[in-house]
Amino acid sequence: MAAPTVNVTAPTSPLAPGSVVEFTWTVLDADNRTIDWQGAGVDSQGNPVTLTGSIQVQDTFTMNTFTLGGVALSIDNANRKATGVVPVA
Amino acid sequence: MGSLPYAWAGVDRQGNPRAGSGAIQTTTADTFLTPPPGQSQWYAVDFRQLSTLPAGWTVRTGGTNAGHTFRAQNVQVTPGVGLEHILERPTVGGAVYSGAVNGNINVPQFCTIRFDAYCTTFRAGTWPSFWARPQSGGAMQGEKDYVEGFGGHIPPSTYPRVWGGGFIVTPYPAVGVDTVDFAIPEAQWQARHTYECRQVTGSATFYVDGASKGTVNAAGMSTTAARNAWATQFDNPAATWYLRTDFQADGPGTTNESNTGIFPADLTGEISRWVIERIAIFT
Repeated sequence: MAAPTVNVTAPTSPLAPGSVVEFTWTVLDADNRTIDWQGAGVDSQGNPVTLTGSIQVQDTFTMNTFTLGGVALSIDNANRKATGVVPVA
Repeated sequence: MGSLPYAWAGVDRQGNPRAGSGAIQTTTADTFLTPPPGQSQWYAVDFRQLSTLPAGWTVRTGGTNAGHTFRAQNVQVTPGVGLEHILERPTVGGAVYSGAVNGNINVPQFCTIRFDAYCTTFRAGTWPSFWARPQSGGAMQGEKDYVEGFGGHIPPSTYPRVWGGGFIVTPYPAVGVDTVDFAIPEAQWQARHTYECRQVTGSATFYVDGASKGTVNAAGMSTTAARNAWATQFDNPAATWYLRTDFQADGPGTTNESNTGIFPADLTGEISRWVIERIAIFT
């Protein structure tokens, strides 16, 4: 089983020193595993409706450190984000 | 614009260490509203956020000593641009018109005034300025020139003659000046600069883009009468001042008094704009 893929998303717009910055990340299963899902219900006219789809497996990853300009950001692994303030150079 | 590196490190579910790095782009911090040490904001206006003149500001109209005429239609406040003074000659060989504004906001005698401004075209004959005259209290005399740029005279015997700021004692003939040279090359008048004048008891220091360009004081005044008048005109804490912005034509003479605002006969249409983007005052 391959190691998961970790994609970090950085802000795309230039930020001024002192402004709040947030990085997020996703952790995808490297084997591209998906899980199918199904749903069934009834519409307003009484007709049975079924729904199907699939979701991609998000793997496990624990961020331990995240620095910006050498300054540590606050890590929130539950929500997969790191936040802080853009340091003054 | 700069860049700031980031680095991250963690561990996946298999216990493997993972790490990465990159960079984000950063901007220069906007310190325009940051007060000088020991002062706090007294007034601020950002003309770029407006479409008309704010409270206390009025358009000046009529003739000038430079031989052209200030008209209301030569002043406009443009969202995203600022307070524009438009210098133009509508017809071939015709009259020259431009814009001027008064800011009647009772600026305290001792304060720091800071503003962002530029000329769209700085050429022979253009004369952008931002200055102040007494509004109430004190001797009701004198002027404070925060910035003036003389594009040079026509014929261009001294072109380009760029200048700076200074304090002038009036009225004539008891007149004298102490000035500083901003040493801004001709083309750089066409780029936005942050001008600043910090006046305290006995002196005033001028800055361009945060760099000191010099100090004026009573001892530096060019005449004895002016040196003696400094205390009355510039050190009275009860005096308040109103702001003046205008865009005049710097004519063919060698002194302000002989300016006539003459441009080359074939120069018609819009000549240039003097744009004030924003102003902040600290006490």
